Amino acid sequence: MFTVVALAASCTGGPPEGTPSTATPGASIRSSPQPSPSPVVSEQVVLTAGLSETPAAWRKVFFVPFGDRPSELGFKFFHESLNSQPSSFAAAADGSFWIADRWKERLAHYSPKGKFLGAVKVAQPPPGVSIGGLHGRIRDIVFSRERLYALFDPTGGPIAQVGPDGAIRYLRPQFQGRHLWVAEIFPSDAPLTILVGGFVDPEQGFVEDGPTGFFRWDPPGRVEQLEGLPNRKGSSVQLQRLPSPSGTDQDFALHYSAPGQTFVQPFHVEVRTDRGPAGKSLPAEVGPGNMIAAGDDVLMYVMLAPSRARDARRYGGGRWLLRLGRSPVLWERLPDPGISDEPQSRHLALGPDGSIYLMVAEKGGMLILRRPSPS
Amino acid sequence: MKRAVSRAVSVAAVVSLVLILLGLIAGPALASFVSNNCHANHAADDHHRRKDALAYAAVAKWEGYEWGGGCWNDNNRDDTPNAPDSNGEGPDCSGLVFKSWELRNPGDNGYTWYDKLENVHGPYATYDYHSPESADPFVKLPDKSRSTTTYMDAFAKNGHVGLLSNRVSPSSNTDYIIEARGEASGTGEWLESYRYDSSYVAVKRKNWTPDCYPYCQMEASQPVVVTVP
Repeated sequence: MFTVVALAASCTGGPPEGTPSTATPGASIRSSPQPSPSPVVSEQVVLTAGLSETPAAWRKVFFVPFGDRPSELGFKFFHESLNSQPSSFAAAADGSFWIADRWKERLAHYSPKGKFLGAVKVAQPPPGVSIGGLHGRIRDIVFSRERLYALFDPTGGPIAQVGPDGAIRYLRPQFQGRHLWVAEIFPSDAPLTILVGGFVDPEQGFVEDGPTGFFRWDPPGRVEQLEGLPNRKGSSVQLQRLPSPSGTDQDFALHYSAPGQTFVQPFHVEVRTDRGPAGKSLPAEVGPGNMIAAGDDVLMYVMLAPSRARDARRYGGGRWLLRLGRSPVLWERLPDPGISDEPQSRHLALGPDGSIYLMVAEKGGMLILRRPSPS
Repeated sequence: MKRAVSRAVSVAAVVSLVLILLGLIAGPALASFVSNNCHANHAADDHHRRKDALAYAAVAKWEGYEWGGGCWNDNNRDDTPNAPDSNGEGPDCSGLVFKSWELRNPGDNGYTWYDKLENVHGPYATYDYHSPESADPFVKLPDKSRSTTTYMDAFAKNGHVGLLSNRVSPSSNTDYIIEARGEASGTGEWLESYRYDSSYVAVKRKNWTPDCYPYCQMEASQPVVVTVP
């Protein structure tokens, strides 16, 4: 239940794959050749999302219920505000999983089959790394060089580094002698990659000036600005939102920067009531996130919703998985959560064997799913 | 007689204290953040700009959250953490929008400024922001695109509402939202994906005063300098 189409040209600096285009209703190539030499702009990929489409069938790995027991995850429903379910998860090199259990202020550890292995308490950060009296809660967790990191929000950090013995160090990256506001962290085999939104003052919070974009950080050491999200081959990728004629967020370009060369892969997300011929095109808001560099590819978790209120009410929205890069384009609908899941900032994780995992908020707990490998 | 009464009162007081300590009878109402800090202080306003709303909402950042509440100070910390439904510090999400937008009751698009320390929530719940009626002083926008929405518009669903900040998100799937996010998180500014979530609609306050006020005419009548070669 997935859709593939081979790109006509490689986006990562290598030679084009020889696979011929196999466009399907889900993804097609719109002919818009761009002049060479630099940067090399590939043909635009058009990804079609049918709102009546059936989600792809992913395999259940395990389910962790909400509850008070140590093996269960924290959850609380609040009136007139957001729920408190876990915000992120990460797959470790040994195949086990960590879940950011933000309501219980801990990182819960589960075996590859879902057996509870224990938890590391990650208390709210102390004064000095927090902003004023606001300590924040865990927004995201990732592995970087097999070390687990947790990002706190809404204070743009700090970042908790979990030692091999479970000891926690609260850190804030500094650049030009000032603390950075960290918006996102990314899993990698290299030093920690962070997305920065500016500077932060420990008393006042966000400060208007300051750098933005990707940085590499080897805590607690040096911070270095990057062109984009690094991948394994010494190059990097960056996603750019392009202006759309309708004013909606539907057009993007993925920039692959390799030494001496930049490749650009534009893509457009076409949202339709149905993928069939009777389907009607809808203006929509499309948000690709959770970027994961996977070799020469990039994985993204894409949320989308019709832009017009009446369309949203009638057709709803959905979430899709997107893989762009050297491999064939992968674009498939993901299972919808069973409950509101706004506090969940990370939905995708990559396993040590390259398996793609998805964490979905359900009414009674969190469900970990694995994408079946294509045959 | 006086001594006997005094003794009886003393005994009763001691017994009451013991019972209170044992939790057997209700004690006097405990002081709360609201009773200790909040007071009525509001005034009709003759204008309200988006930048005023942003400045007002910014003061509420880092304060607490209280369901149905609407009183906070400006010390950048939650003075009643982990104390839900206690007349504690902070607004709830719909109360923050009400005060930041200087709203009034349905049928009135005028402006009322409320002191941050006035414990007022207003008549609108998230359902109202999500599904406004014609008399409400706010209106659902036709779409959620960036060309339609601007800062201090709201994203609302039945159950939550937050205000669009003027900060630009560094990521492609979020906006900065100023919101009272809940007991677990307090009030602040988060990166959220409401624009891409079909349960949220975009809502705008009616009758904003332009940000250029009171110098709009002056700006419009600035002389145009033409350079003749």
